[in-house]
Amino acid sequence: MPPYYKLSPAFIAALLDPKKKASPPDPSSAPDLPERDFTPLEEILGERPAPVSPPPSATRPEPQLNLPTIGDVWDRMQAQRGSISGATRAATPSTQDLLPRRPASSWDAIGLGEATPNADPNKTLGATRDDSFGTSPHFGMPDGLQFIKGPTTYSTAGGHQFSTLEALKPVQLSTASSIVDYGRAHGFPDNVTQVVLNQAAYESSLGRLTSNSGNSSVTGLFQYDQPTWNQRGHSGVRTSDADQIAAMFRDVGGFSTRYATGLANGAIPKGVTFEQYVETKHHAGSNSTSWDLYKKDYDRKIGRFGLRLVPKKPRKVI
Amino acid sequence: MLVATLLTMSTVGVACNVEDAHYRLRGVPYVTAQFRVTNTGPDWPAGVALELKMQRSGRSYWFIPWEGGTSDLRHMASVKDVSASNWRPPDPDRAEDRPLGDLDYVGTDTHYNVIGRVPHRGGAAPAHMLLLNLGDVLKHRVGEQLLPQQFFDLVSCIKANDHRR
Repeated sequence: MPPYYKLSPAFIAALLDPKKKASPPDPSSAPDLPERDFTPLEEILGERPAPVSPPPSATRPEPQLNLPTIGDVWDRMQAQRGSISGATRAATPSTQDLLPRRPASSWDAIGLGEATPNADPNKTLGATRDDSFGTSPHFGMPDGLQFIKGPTTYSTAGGHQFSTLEALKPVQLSTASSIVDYGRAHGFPDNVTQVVLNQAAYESSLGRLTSNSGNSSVTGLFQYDQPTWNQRGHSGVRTSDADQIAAMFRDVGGFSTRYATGLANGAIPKGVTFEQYVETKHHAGSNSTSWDLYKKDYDRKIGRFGLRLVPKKPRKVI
Repeated sequence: MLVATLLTMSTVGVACNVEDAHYRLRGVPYVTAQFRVTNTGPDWPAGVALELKMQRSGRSYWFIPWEGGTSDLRHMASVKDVSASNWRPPDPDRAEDRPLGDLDYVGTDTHYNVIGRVPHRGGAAPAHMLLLNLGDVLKHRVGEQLLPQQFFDLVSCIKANDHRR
């Protein structure tokens, strides 16, 4: 099939108006095509028959709506942010282009901020970002505008998947992957793994804030202090991420039994969820009954992470 | 008197075991406290209960220390008289088992360095203790005279009777 030019609206209008002389389209509008002589309209129509039936009363071209394309919106947004010029935008966004961009905010202080620049999560971590499961980047928007974020799905080294509303820093991705893999490898129900995942997000921002300068006695992914570690009979090294993950799974497993008993005998109010129970017992102490003390803060931070395990696909039975 | 108290504190501040320690509320000599060895069960591993004595009214109040988890806070749960023969440690999930609720607790050494652990049987006794909401709880829950928010100071270290059963 011979190459053909795009016909501009002005050119078509001129063709339809016998009073105006038709002129060929501007070849510069198709820079990727080789230069060649003007292709007659008849030739084009002969090859690609298209019904071009001008309205009988048309004497002037219909007014054209200049609606902005997505690319135009993108350029405008970037120009407002002053970060990149329209000339640097690639036709197809790279993975880095898809990473959330957002102005620095108070979120960063609690570890929910933008991914480390130049960090390649696919190289350094035991997990990879998998955009095929749906990516809705959270671009830096002009004031007053906001995209509704969607989840991004990551694959762990163990071949499991989880999604989150936030772009994770390498250490966060590594932590989340380790937790998901541990839970699946040891046969914990997904709701238990989900709680452990959220606890790590709340206590240390998934391993990003493991030391506490204001409180030297708590440390690690789940901020265990020595008395709590000893009281719950944990072995291993309290400062080890792997040991803290194992300890937390063990704790949550124990809490699940207590929760079921307490709910059944009326010790625990009916409105207290299992996750709320775990949070209370882990954060405020295993003898705490202040069910709502940290609920608001917990829900807010966990909601921003939006961590979700992707359910395992059932095996096909042949 | 003050010198004697300070001398006592300095001599017992490190060596005194929790269950042997006797305290007095600073500025209120009729309010005293001491830990009793108690079988508090696996959910309350401190193994001691604090008896708070109001010398004027003759009433006592009992509390069991508990760790506050990753919040790094410490507390004391109000319980019924641990010396009663039918006493059992409370359900750790049932708030109703704590007659006066929970007190926020801070224990320090002689230099007022905060001790990051609640008192436990066999452990070193804190030189000072602060029960932050004690006065408010006693006044509004049981009608005791309002106590000042002050430290309990370690005043003596005497071998005490166990309440183990």
